Amino acid sequence: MTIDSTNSDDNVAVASDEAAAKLRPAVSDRNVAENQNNSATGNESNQEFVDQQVPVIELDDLCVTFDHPVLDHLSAKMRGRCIGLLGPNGAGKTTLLNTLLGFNRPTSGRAVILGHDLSTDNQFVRSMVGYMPERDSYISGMTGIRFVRMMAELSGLSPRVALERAHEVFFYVGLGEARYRKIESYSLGMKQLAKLAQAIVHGPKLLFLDEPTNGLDPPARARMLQLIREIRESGDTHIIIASHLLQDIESCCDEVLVLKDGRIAKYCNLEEERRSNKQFLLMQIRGNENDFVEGLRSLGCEVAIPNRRRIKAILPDGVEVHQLYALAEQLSVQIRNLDYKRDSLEDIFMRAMDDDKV
Amino acid sequence: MAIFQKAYQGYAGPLSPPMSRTLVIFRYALADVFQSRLFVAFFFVCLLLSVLLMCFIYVYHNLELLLQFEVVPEELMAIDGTFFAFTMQLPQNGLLFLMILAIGPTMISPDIRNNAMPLYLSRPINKSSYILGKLLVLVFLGSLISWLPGLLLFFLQAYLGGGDWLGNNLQIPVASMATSLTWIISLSLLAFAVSARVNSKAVARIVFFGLLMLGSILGEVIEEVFGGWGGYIVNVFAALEVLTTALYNADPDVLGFVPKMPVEIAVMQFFFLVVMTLLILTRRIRAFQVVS
Repeated sequence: MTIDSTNSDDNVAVASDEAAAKLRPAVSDRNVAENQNNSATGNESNQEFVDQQVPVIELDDLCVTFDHPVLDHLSAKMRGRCIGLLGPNGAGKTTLLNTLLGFNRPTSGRAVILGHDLSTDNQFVRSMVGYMPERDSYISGMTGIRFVRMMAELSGLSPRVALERAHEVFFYVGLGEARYRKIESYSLGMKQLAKLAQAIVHGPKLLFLDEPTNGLDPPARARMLQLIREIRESGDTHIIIASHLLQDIESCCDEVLVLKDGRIAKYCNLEEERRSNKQFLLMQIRGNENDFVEGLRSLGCEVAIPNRRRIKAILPDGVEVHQLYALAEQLSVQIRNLDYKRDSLEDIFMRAMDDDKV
Repeated sequence: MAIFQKAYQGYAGPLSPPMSRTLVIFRYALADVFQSRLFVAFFFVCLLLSVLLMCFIYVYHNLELLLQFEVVPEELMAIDGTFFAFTMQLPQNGLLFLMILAIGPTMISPDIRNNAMPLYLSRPINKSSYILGKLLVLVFLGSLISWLPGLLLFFLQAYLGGGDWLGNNLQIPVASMATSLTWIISLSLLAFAVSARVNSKAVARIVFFGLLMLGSILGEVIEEVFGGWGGYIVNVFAALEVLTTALYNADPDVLGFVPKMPVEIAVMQFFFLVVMTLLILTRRIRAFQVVS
């Protein structure tokens, strides 16, 4: 199944209904319960349910211009539980995050977060989001616990609840023993965790993480990614991650939005994208390679030879793997290895970068 | 999200009203200020002035005590607007300046230096709430050492002086409040503007002090060269003296040298200062830096 409906003219990227239906956990528990009843009545009611779903983020012809257009007519409806923002430097990832946080005012168009228009409900939206900035961010002279407690109170929690949750969240991120130390004395990894703690202390509905693994050593990075996955699995929070690190996005996200030059180059559900490319086969053979390749082409396969003795083939509909074995036997070629190739995020990203049009 | 469970859980409890977020900033900033023992000591010294004046007013109306000290009541300065302006307001203005010099320039710069603004502004507060929260600290502390004790002194004197005195000096509480708040707010915003531009606390204090002194010296020089009151336009201390004298309806000869500048100009000076500093603050306080 493919993620489709990408309209190149309008730079619109919308997950297909089928894909959206698979992302049902993206809505609140109450909606899920309601919609589970609806979905039992068949495809039509399922369609209704999908239409009723509130996208996590809806971009409607969003433009942000400084001295030049930084975000250029973005339109998308994102429904994933964890959405990755990818793109080369200067693509507009941070500007998009800043705009969604209300730091930038859109030049035109609008952004809607969890059903609330940023231009009219900015303050309310901010009470629902948590933000972990890319750079070191803290209030000097404060202990970790006081810093996180203050952030919780600023988000609207009462002082007592804020203190309670600050303790809990410090233990949750693994800084329990360091919570009474001044933040400036923390290591880089600890500061990253403290930033995560302040972002989640008030239990936001939507969490923005800007390069969350920046500067972390491998164990700390693994720990950070594990926390992000746990938060995602909790089902209480949607997550938007902006990162250069494809592996991080791949390990945490179910959807990616790839930006290029301020425009959407690709928006897809990762699992669907991988599944759509299931027919890719990677083979290692011994024998007459040219004859075998010709034979594959005669079966209607698209063939590429990425490197020596390795053949990449896309099977057309109706061609099964056993026909390849038959062909090999006929040509006295040994198939030493045969793998289904699954597109990695890197493949998806590189393709998006190569395509000028969505 | 209990500690022992170490599992993430959202929050669905009640939220405080939006207006109370400003008070969160105020509360934490106030607590930070009182972490300095030096400031605590200074603050209590500031309160001594009012205690001394309270004792003076009490003794002033106690003939037995005056006779014991061999003081003739008629030789003492009359308690009126001039008295309050000279013995209370002018020293308080100096104390307010020192207090704001001590804490004002250090209140914004740490947040900007450590990139804390995105953390504030990604929450349901805006620049105005942030500035107001910080400003409230200085207004609160400044009020405690200026017009609030001034009101106490006024009511003590009114109680001891009788109804006639009260009726003749009703301008005093208004003058005390207006002068103090004008001075606190304008100086605080100037200190914040400097704090928003200069990262180092020490340098910010020096710049704040230097700016005010520079204005004062420049004003004197212009006044010496060109005469008239034009030079005082850049001298905020001169504007304060003019405002104090006018609001208290005080005798300028008792207060010392008071520039002969229209009070409207003095008011405009403070208004201009507030507008300029607010402009600087709104430009400097933002969630991210634009890299061109």
